[in-house]
Parts: sequence; structure tokens; C-alpha cells
Amino acid sequence: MIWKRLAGAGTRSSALLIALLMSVVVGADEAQDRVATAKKWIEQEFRVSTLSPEEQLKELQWFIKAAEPYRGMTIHVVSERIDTHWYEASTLARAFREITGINVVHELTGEDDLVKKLQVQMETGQNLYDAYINDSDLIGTHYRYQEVLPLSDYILAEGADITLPTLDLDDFIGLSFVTAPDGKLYQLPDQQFANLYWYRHDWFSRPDLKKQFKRRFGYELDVPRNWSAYEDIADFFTNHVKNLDGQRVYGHMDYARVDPSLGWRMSDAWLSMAGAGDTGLPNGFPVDEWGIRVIGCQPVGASVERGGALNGPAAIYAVNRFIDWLDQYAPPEARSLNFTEAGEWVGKGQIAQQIFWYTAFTAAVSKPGLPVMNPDGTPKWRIAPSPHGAYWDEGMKLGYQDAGSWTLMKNTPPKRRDAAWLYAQFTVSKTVSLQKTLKGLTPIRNSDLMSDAMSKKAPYLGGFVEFYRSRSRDIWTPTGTNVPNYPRLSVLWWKHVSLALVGKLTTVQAMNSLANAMDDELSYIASRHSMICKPVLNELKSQEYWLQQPGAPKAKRDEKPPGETWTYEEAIRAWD
Amino acid sequence: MGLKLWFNPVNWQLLRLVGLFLFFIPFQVNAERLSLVTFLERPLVENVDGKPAGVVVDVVSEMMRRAGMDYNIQLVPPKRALMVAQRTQHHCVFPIERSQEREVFFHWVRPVLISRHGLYSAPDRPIRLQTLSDVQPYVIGSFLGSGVGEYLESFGYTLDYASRNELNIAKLQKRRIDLWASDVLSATYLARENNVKLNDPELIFFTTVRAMACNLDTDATLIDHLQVVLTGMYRDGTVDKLTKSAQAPR
Repeated sequence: MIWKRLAGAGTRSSALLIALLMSVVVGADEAQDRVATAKKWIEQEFRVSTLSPEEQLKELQWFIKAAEPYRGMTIHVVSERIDTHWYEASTLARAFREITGINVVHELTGEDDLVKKLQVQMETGQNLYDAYINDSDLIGTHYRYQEVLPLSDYILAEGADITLPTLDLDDFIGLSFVTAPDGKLYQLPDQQFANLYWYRHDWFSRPDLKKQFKRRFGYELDVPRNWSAYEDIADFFTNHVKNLDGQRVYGHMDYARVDPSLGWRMSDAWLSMAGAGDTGLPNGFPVDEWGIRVIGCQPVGASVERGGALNGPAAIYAVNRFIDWLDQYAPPEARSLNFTEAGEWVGKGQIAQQIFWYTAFTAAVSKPGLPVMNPDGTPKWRIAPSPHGAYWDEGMKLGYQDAGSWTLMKNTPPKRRDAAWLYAQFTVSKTVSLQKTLKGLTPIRNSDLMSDAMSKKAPYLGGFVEFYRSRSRDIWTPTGTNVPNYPRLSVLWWKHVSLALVGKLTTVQAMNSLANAMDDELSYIASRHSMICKPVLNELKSQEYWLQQPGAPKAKRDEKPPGETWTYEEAIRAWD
Repeated sequence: MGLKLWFNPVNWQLLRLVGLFLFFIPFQVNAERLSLVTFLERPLVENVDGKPAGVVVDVVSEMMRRAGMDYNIQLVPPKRALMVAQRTQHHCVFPIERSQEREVFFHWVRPVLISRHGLYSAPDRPIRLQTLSDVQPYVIGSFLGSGVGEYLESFGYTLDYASRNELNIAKLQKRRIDLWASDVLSATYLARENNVKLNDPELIFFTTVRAMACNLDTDATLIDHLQVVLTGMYRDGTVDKLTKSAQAPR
């Protein structure tokens, strides 16, 4: 009927009809081309997936359709500089462009630069990027300042039509890290990595070394359960074994250049492993690993005098051990290294153990030919639960896990934000996520972790898969919601801890000054920033008063209890 | 107090208003005089009759004026500018990239400029780029001291450095480099000055936030005040107006 009406409406209408038909034909051709492109990507790049090829194609067809209004746009996104994001920036951005017609500039930069750029967009309102992949450490900032779009609201309202039906949020293992106290999801995990204990399983298995260790320390050389054992093993390799297979070896590795990453060393988990905070998962309540106490959702102080734990005995113990072990057991180079430089250092084959090692470097230290690899491609090293300090209690988080997560700002123009949301979902879709996980080893989906592909890979990853398949992945958690402004508060860590590190102050003096600076900053942001759940400092009371209360801050304990070790098998079973 | 009350939309609007008011309240400035050093980087900073001028100078001058600060600005070579600000009390340098490596040596006020950086091909020899990994086979021109050049080099790309950015136009035309990495503002300006018709960048690949970096002895309260003033200049559109004529394309 419509054809007849159009055809009978004269020459002009005929021209319109031809144009319409042409556009339909061209549109149909283009859609077919894009489906063919999607098939090509499935066959050539996304061969490993938890979806069947047919399901993958269906998922990609959804992207083709949803992207229509945004075709031809160029969006800018930014993330930190690790293997997973390199894969996204170079391969997934290209696939997304070819499949959907949306161009993506995916920038890679240092974590510190990323946080500062996000801060600039928050403060100035300038649209620097259309989306950020930002650590879930900032969840306390995001929900308080309300500058970040709550995704759980967005996907039910304006983002409903462009939210992937197969997104399957329940499949993400890190959702608790990106959910705020208001129950809303503010970010979507894109990659995760944890800090675990790393050690030379081959050395720890040598009968001669086991015998020597037991004779000297009275217990087995094995995976340390507590810091006393870690310290003994560090002493053993650095000061007693000294040389193995013709080279100098060390019982401990760390990094300590005066640089923002020195702060992350502390704020990421050193204090929580020591046991400075309270029990509670994903973070201690009312005091978490930054030593900040909250009442409800309001921070009330970091210093012991205000009920916090940042200059309490556990925190001072943590920093003392950090400095002592660095000086006594680590290679001399450790003092001049930062996060990036130190990550791959264990691959040189001189390190016996590292208490706090980022699994993001797993791919880098698994390269064939490295002295820490066997000829058959299996590693000589293992990763296991980190040993806990003297103040740690059952029910506390034990280590750090970061969930680099997609973050959309409210001040990004809606159309740009929507297009960026499509790209974000593409990078975590089931079509691509398993392949991405195998490339970068930063898993986000339970379905990927339980896949046959990961089972096949497990023997080559030294315990990585076992960790992520266990309950432990819930006990390694990011910075919690007690931290109301991560960018402003995080800089205080390296500025103050470095004073103790270089000997300008004692550890007690440095931690007192850090705790006071943290309180001052909490007070400053409360007085000058617009936010919900803003800090209200507790009245000052004596340290004695707070140390007598239950939980954190905790009174001084015996900091060198007997060393305890367990076998690797026992250690990995502990994760269940 | 429960969360429900805090999330009441009426309270939230009220809080925003109060917060914004507090954010912009007048501030009693310490009467410290600041000496600012900058360096030639046209068109961001130019030498006009021996005095610094240009878009970033305009932004910084307006910030200092609004902050009620007594100051002077001097043009010096880039390396010296950094050294002077790092070693001399009451001195600041701009516009420099804030990086993790530099972080510990200064107090920072930012952004005095937000730059997009692009890769340009010769007009008669376009090179199609989709992502940064496509750059691998090519020689990229940059200039000595460029943070973006170092950024590209850190990915393993082949860089060819000139002593000054403008020399890259001739190198591009003479095929001594395949691509020129430059901030969009400078590339547009320098191409116009050299009567070269430059295509749009093949790829915008990096964004930098330029800052003013002050000696560590500078009063932290003063730095906070300058930051509040500068942020206000973005919020009220002043920076946008100052940079509009040279806006980078998206």
C-alpha cells in the first residue's frame, strides 16, 4: 500500500522513494558488512569464549544495532598502563570500530596521571574523557561527590536501551568493590588484580635448604603463615644462604623510591596485612586499612586520638617492618625502584620471596626463557596467601585487590557517554572477556574463571587460577568507602612515610604527622567541598582511651610470635 | 544519621549550594610575591617584545590577578625554568606536564592548559591510523624535551627528535619523518605560520594536563587558594573564552 501511495505522488516523491530505497539497500548492505566483520573477529580473535560462536554473533549483532545512532563518532577513554588495557587499546578498540562504526581513542597512562585527570574533570567540569577505567579505590569518593553516574540507575533509565541484555552483572566477581553504601553500583569492573605472596617453590622444595632452615629456626621452610616466619625466611636467604647456583640471592623484595607509588605500597594493604583495621568484608568497619574510622557513612578521624588507627601500634609496626625488611633483606636496588620497575624484578631469579606482589605482573614473569621458568613452560614460583601480621584477626581482609572499573561522569555530554558505555560493555562482554583474561590475566567474570580454557592454563600460572576460583578472592579487597576523597588523601601517604624511610623522622613521628595531616585534610574537604556523608571529626581523646576500646585501634601486642609455616597445598586449601 | 536522610534530593540540592558557596568564598592571601618562569612554546607561550605572551600566559595572569597575588613572569630556557622553580623559594614554572616522576619535586596548580596531542602525516602522503599500535612501522617526529615524545618512545616506537617543534613541518615535507606528534594547538599554529596546509590529525592519541609547578617551600595554603581560583575560572567559562580561538578539534 505505501509503495502505491508514494509512487503516485509525482516526480518529487519518486525521487524521495528512490532515495529511501537506496538508503534501505545501502543500510542493509552496511549492516551485512558489519555482521560479516563481526564473524571475522569471532573466527580470528575471539576464538576462546564461554559463548558459542552463534551466541557471540548474536551478542555482536546487538552491538551493531545499538551503535547505529552513534556511528561515526570518536570517543576518548583512558586507563592505566597494563597488559590488559594495551590489549583493549590496540585490539578491542579496533574490533569495536570495525563492528560498530564508533571510533575509540583508548589512551594509556600512569595510574597517578589517570586519577589526576579524573580529578580535573570532576573539579573543572571539562570533558577530558568520555569514560575512565578507574580503580574501585575511589568508590568512597564517587558516591560522596555524586559526580559519577550511578550505573545501576543509568541502566534502568536513560541507558536501558543501550545496556547489553547479556551483560549478566551477577557474573562479575568484583561487584561488591564498586557498590557504595547507598546500595548503588557506581562502576563496572574491567580488570582485577591482587597482591599475593610470591615465592620460589623450587628453592623452598630443596632438601638441603629445608634441612638448614629447620636446624636454624626449628620449623619447616615453607609458605609463611605469619610475619615472623616471613622475616625468618628473609633472614635465611639474604644472610645465611646468600648465594645459590652461582648468584647472590635475597629473601625479600620491595620498592621504595620516593614517589606516589610508595604511598600505594602502604595504602594498598600493608597496614591491613599487619592488622591495623577492624574485621569486616570487603573492608573493616568502623575502621578500615587506611585507619579512618566512620560513624555510619561519615568519617570521624584517622588519628588514634579521634578513634582512628593510622598512628596506632599496628600501623607503626607495619611501617617499621616495611623499612627494616627493606634495609636488612632486600637487594640494594629496591630503594630506588617504583611500582612499575619493581613488578618484574622477581623474574631475574635472585629473589626467594616477596610478601606483597601484584598478580598483574604474572604474564611478565611467566615468559619462556626467564630464570624463574621451567623448560616445559611451568613456573618455578608459586603464589599463595600473604602472611598476616601480629595484629591481624580472623574476619579481616588479608590483602589488596584492585578492580579497575569503567566510570562514567555525569558532566560528560549524554551522547558521548552513551557511546562510551557501549565500548565499555564490549570490553567486558562474554564474546571477548575470556580471550582478554587469557591475554592479561586480570579476570573479572566467574564464567571465565570456571572455563576449561582456564583449567588448561592453571598449571602454568603458579596458583593464580586456584586463588581466583577460591573464596579468597573476596578477602583481598580494594580501598574501602571510609576514604572520602582518594586523590587528595592518597598523596599524604608517600609524603609522610618517606620522611621515616629517609630517616628525617622516626616511624612514630612520621605516622603521627601522617595521622594529623589526614585529620586536617578530612576537616578541610568537609568545610570546602560539596558532598554527602561528609567527614565530621570526633572530639580529641587520649590514646589510652581509644586503645582500651574493642577493635581498632588495637593496643600493642607481641610483635614477634613464633614463626608458623604451612605447605603450599595447605595454603591453597585455606582459600576454600 | 541514616543514609535515607542524606540521600534526600532536597537536602542534596541544599548541600550542593552550600558547598559551592563555601568553595568560592574569599580568601585572605598571604602577601608572598611569586616569581613565575616560563619558556617559549608557541603559541602557548610567545616572546612579544621581550615579554612572555600567549594563551597560557593569559590564563596564569588572570589567575594571579583574581587571587590578588603580586607576581612577575620571566622567559627562560625550558631546562633552566624547571631547575629554577625546583631550587628557588617563591618560584613557579609553567606550563609543564605533571607526571609521577616530577610529582615529588613541586607543589602543583592545574590545569593551566588541557592539550590534545595528534599524529600528523604529510598532506601528500596520508597514513591511516586506527589505534596507536598502527604506528609501529613509522618514524615519528617530536622535539627534545617533549613528554609526548618520551611517552611514544616508552611503547617502543621509533622517534626522531628535532631541537624545536616547528622543524618537524619541514622534516615531514622532506619525508625525513612519516608522522609528526604534536599538540593540536601548536600544530595548527605552526602549519599556518609556515603556509603548510596540514590535514586533520590521523589520530588524536593523548591528552595532557599542563600545570604550574611551584617550589616546595611555597605556602601550601597559597597553592590551595590558587587552585580554587583556577578551578573557578574553568567553572565560569573564563578559560574557555581565553583559549577559544585556538580550541583543539575533537
